[in-house]
Amino acid sequence: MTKVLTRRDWLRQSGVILGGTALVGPRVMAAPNPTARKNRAPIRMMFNENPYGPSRTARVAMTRAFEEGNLYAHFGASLELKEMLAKKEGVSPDHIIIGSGSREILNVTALRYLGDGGEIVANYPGYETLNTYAENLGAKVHRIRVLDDMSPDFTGIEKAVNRNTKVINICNPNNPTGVATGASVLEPFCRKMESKSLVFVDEAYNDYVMDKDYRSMVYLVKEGLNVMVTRTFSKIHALAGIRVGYGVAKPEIISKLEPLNTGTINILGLRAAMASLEDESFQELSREKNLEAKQTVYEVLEQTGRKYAKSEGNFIFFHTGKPILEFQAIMEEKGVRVGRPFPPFEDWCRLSMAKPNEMRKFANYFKDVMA
Amino acid sequence: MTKNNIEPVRLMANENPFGPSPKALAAINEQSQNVHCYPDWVPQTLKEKLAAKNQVPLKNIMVSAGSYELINLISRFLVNRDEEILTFDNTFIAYSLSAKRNGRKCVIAHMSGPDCNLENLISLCTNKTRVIFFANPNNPTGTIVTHDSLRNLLETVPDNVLVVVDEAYCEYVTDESYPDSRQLQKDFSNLIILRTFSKIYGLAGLRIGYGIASEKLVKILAKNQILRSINLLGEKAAEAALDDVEYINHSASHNSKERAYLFNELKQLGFVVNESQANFQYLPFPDNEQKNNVYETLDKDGLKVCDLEIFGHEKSLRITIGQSETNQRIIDCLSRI
Ligand SMILES: Cc1ncc(COP(=O)(O)O)c(C=O)c1O
Ligand SMILES: Cc1ncc(COP(=O)(O)O)c(C=O)c1O
Repeated sequence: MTKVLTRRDWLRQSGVILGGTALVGPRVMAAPNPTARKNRAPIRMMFNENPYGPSRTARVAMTRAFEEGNLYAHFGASLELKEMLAKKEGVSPDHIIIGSGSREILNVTALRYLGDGGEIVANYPGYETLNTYAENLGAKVHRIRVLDDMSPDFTGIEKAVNRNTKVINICNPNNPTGVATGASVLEPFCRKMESKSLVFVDEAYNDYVMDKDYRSMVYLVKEGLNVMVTRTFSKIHALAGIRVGYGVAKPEIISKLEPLNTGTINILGLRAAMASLEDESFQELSREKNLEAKQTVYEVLEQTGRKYAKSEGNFIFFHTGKPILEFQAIMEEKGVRVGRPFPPFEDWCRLSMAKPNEMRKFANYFKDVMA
Repeated sequence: MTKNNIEPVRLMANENPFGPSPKALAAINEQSQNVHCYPDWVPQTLKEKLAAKNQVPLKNIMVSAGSYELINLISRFLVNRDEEILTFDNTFIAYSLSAKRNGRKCVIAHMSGPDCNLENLISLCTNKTRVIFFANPNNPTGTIVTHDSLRNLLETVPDNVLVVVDEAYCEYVTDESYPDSRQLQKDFSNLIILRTFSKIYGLAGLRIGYGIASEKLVKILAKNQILRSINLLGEKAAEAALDDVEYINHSASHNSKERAYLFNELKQLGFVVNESQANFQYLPFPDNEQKNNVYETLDKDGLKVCDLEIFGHEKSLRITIGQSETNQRIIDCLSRI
C-alpha cells in the first residue's frame, strides 16, 4: 500500500506539497557553499570524503524528496533502493541489507555475531568500527599487523583463527593503508576460511580501485559462501552526510542481521542514493580527479623521500617521521585538517584527497614542513 | 470531484498534512550541497536547542534517528535477556515489535476501552519487569494518561523499573490534565520521555527524534547508539523547524479545530467516538463487517485511512486529521453510508 501511495506524482498533485519544486531549480545550484565562505575553515583532508559531491542529479533528487519529508515514505523507498542494489550486484533483494551508513551494518554485524562474546581476527591497522563495537560488547579482537609492504598478513590472520572466531575482518581496499588485495590472493583466502568464520570484507572504497587484479567479493556471496561485503554511499557517491550504506550476503545472514537494525533510513538519503547510482559520469569524474590528486601527493612524497603505501582509495597513508598529533597541529595551523592517529603507525599520516589544487597547496606546505 | 479523478490522501500514518515546515525546507536547500561531508559526531546545536526548549540540562537529552531508534536501543541495551518489557495491547506496535526483534520477552496488558488504565500495567509488574512502554497520547486511541496517574505509576513501581512515555503527539494536546513529564523526570530518574520530529514538525521522512532521561541512562544509550545515525539534513531541518513557531502553532490550532469538527460530526452520524488529544481519530466498530464497509467507502473516495488490523487490532480504524477540505470530504462520504 505504502509503495503506491508514496509515488511523487500524486503527491505533487495533492495539496500537501509546499511549493518545494520551485525551490529546487537553479537557485539551489548556484547558492554559494557555506563551508567555503568561511575562509578560515580548514580544508577537509581527514574523513575520506568526496570533495566534488553530491552529484547534481543526487542533489535534485534530494531536494525534491523533501516534498515527501513529512511522510513515512522511507519504508517503500527502502525497498526500491534494495531492488536497485540487488540488480546492480546481480543478486536477489534478500541478499541486501541497507543501513544508516555502512557503519550501521558493521555495528549490527558485531552485535549479531559477537553479542555473546567470541572473537574477531582483523587486519591491523584497519577500519576499527566493527572491532571496537564488538569489544564494547565483550568480544576479543586479535589484531594482526600488516606486513612490511603494508599488505595484510593472511598467514598470520589464518593462524589466529580458532574455534571462537566469529568474524574475520578485512577491509579492501584497506583504510587507512589504501592497499588493495587482489582476487588472486583474497579469493582463495575466503574459500579456505569461510567454513571457520564469517569473512567480512568492507569494500567502502570499491569504486575507486584501478588495480586490475582487484575484484569485489560479491561473486563469492553469489556462490553461497559465508562471506559478507559492505559498501557505502559516503565515498564516491559523496553522500556521507545523509547516511546510506549497504551489505551483501546470503539471505540466511541478511535475515539474521536485519531485525537488529536500529535504523530507518531517511527519505532524502534514499532518493539521493537511487539517483546517484544512475549518475555514472559523476562517479567517473570523481575517480579521475582522485587519481590526479593522488599523483600530486605521490610526487611530493617522492621529492621529500617519504615512505608511503600505494593507495587504491581516496586517501594516502605515508610516513612523516613526526608524531601524528604533532603533524596534525602543524597542518591545522596551515589550514589543512589531516587524518587521526592510526596505531601502531603513530608517525604516519592518512591524508584524504581533496581537489587537485588543494592537494598542490598541501604539497607546498608539506615541502616546507619536511625541509 | 469526478469519480475517476480522485486524489488519494494519506490519512493512515498520522503525518502533518501541511508538509514539512517552510523553514526546514530552506535549511535543506542551503545544506544540500554539503552532504558529501560527514555530520559531526554529536548533533550539538540541535541538542542545545532541545535542552533550551525543554528547559532541561544538555546531559539529559539524547537525539536519535526517529523515536524508533531510541525504542530499539532501550529494548536492547536497558533490558537484560532474562528481563521483561511491559506494554498495552492497544498501543503503538513498535514496543512489542522491538522486544521481539531484540529477543526480549514482552508482557502485554489489556486495555478494556480506549483508555490506558495504568492499574492494568501495575498489576502485571513483577520483579522481572524492566521497562514499561506506553504512548501518551496513545496511538491509536488518542487518549491521555493524566499527570496524577503518571505520578502515581512512578510512585508505585520500583525505581529500577524504567517508565518510558512516548510523547510523539504531545504538541497536539489541549487537555490541561496532561502530564508535565519534564517536571516529573526531575523527581523520577526512571522516567524516560520520547519525542519526535515526525509528527507536528512534519519531518517523518528525515528520521529525527529525541529522548529526555537521566544522565546515567543517556550515557548508556549514547554509548551503544550507532554513531552518526543522524543525517546532516535531518539535523539541520530539525533545528530550523524548532524555530518555525508560526508553522507549529498553525498546525496545532488547525488540528484542535478540525479534531473537534470530526468528533462532533462523527458522533452525529452515530459513530462511537472518544475524545482524541492527538492528530487522529480512533473509530471502533461492533464488528469487522461495519468497519470494512466504512474503510471501503472512504477508500473509494481516495481517503486512505488506517485499518488497525495491520497492527493486529480488530474492528477499528484510525483516521489522521487532514486539511479542512479533507475532513469535510470524510464526513460527506460517511454521511452517504
Ligand atoms: C572502510 C570504511 N568502512 C566504513 C566506513 C563508514 O562509512 P559510512 O558509515 O559513512 O558508510 C568508512 C568511513 O570512513 C570506511 O572508511
Ligand atoms: C506513539 C508513536 N511513537 C513514535 C512514532 C514514530 O516515531 P518516529 O517517526 O520518530 O520513529 C509514532 C508514529 O507513528 C507513534 O505513533
